[in-house]
Amino acid sequence: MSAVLTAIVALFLIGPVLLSALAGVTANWFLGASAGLTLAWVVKVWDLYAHTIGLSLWLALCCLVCTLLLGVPAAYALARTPSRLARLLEELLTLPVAVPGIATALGLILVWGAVGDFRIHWTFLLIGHVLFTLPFMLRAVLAALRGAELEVLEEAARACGANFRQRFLGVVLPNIRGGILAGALMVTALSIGEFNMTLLLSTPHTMTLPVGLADSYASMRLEVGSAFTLVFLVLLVPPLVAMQALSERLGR
Amino acid sequence: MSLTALLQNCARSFPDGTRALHPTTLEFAAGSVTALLGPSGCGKTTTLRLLAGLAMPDAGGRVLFDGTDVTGLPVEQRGIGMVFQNYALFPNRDVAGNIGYGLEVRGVPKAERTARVAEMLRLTRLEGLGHRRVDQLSGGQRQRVALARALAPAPRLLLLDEPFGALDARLREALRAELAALLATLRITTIFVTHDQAEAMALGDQVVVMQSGRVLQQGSPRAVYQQPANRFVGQFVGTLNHLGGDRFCRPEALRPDPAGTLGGVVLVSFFEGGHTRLHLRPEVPGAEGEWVLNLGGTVPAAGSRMTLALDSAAVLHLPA
Ligand SMILES: Nc1ncnc2c1ncn2[C@@H]1O[C@H](COP(=O)(O)OP(=O)(O)OP(=O)(O)O)[C@@H](O)[C@H]1O
Ligand SMILES: [Mg+2]
Repeated sequence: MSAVLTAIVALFLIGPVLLSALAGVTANWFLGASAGLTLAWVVKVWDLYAHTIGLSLWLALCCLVCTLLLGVPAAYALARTPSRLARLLEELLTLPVAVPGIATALGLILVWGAVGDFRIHWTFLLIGHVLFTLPFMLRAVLAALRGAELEVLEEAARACGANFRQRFLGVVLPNIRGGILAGALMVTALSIGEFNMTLLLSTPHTMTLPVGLADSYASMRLEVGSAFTLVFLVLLVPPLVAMQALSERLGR
Repeated sequence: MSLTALLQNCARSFPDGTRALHPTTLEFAAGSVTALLGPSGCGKTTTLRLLAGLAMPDAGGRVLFDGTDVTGLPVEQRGIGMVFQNYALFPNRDVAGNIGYGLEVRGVPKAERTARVAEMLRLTRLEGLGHRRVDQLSGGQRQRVALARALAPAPRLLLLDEPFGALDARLREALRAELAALLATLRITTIFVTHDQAEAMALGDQVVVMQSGRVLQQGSPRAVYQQPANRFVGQFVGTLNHLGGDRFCRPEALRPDPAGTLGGVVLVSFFEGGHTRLHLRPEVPGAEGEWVLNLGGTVPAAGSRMTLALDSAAVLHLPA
């Protein structure tokens, strides 16, 4: 009974995506599979949109590096500051999720839009993505810092004679790696999939994968958009699943 | 080798107003083993953390090692060894990695480190476990790893917070004897926290009895037992029988004697192996509560009356 229910829910969730991907290899969706299968649309997508895939992956990587470099030390500082201000900041971390991406995007354009060619540089998107994903990294790392009696472990390291750098690298980081990995996974997935804010921030020079996908649906044949979905799934699902497995293994 | 530690007028308050320790001066002689003894919340851990440098005394307090003021020195520069209440072993390191950590952060070369870790493994009877993960150790083994980790860099002061707190009774006694032997060979100034009086008496050559953030008495186990400073200390380090007024005695000061002057009725008896523990209702004017005494051989049945003699030299006059 519950297996059937699970199957129905799963079908409900991924059915449309699979259908869309399937449409990408039919010669003509409206004539059905009888009209024949083809990879022509996939090739066409590759020709037209390969650069958006490249940009998205590059953006996700840079975003990950930024959120790690900013988020891990910031989370540590927050967790170790006893003040009420720090607690308030922690509460505020959930806010960007509630603020519509469009509002953030408009804000960014207002602030940076007139600064030289910055508007059409990929780093403009990076700022948006870092703003959007940083809270997720912070929260994942904070949760790890709160558990695992880390404070006592740090005191033990100090009693052993370890200075700050030694205990941060040798005791803190290894013991919160599960949280860091979970945060990294989240940030990567969110950055690659982000659409709301990116749609406003992107330009013809800086188009990410999801924006390209929307563009293809809006301006091409249905089959091209569908083929894009297929490419998206084939390219991104395996690495995301692998990362998830890795983080579960390392995070214990 | 070992050092003399001195807490001078050290108090410790928390922002919420809690006074965990009232101004206290305590000296720990070089090479001595001191037990900080007292009920939960009396400030034992606080005192230990002040010595370690994990907490700062309130203004006016000073911590001195061999006469040198170390109050401002952070824990990592005090050169102490510490065993934490739940051991706080590093889960990301194996047994050898934990034991060698203090040497590693001091930049001791690999070869020397390996040799020292092997020596510590032998000393704490952990041979063959060097590459075990710490979450695959028994409670007793964890305790020994924590001890080895604290001792590896050859500290001049060893601080232990309830080193046997997480172990069962039998293991406690075995490890207590082991630690006593180890401390006797190393002669490091050692201060350990416990709320078990038997442990304090067995292991410490000094006992500091604390209550509500104050030191009530410091002295040898014998002195604290035989001349407690007040009723609380007397009760905490052993059993007191009330004789009326401010007069008390230890169970062993009472013995059955037909010519004795004191009487009592047996309430209940507990066979404890080597002896039987009797609880009596005293028939002495002014004596409150029950008397306890330990007898070998056969004991009178509950309800029977006993005549007892008191070793008058053993009477304690204890203020409330
Ligand atoms: N961070 C803190 N803020 C406020 N009060 C505290 C804090 N830490 C400890 N205390 C209080 O200080 C007092 C002494 O604490 P301490 O930990 O030294 O007791 P202890 O003798 O070690 O007790 P136990 O045997 O339970 O470990 C207690 O009343 C405790 O509640
Ligand atoms: Mg304590």
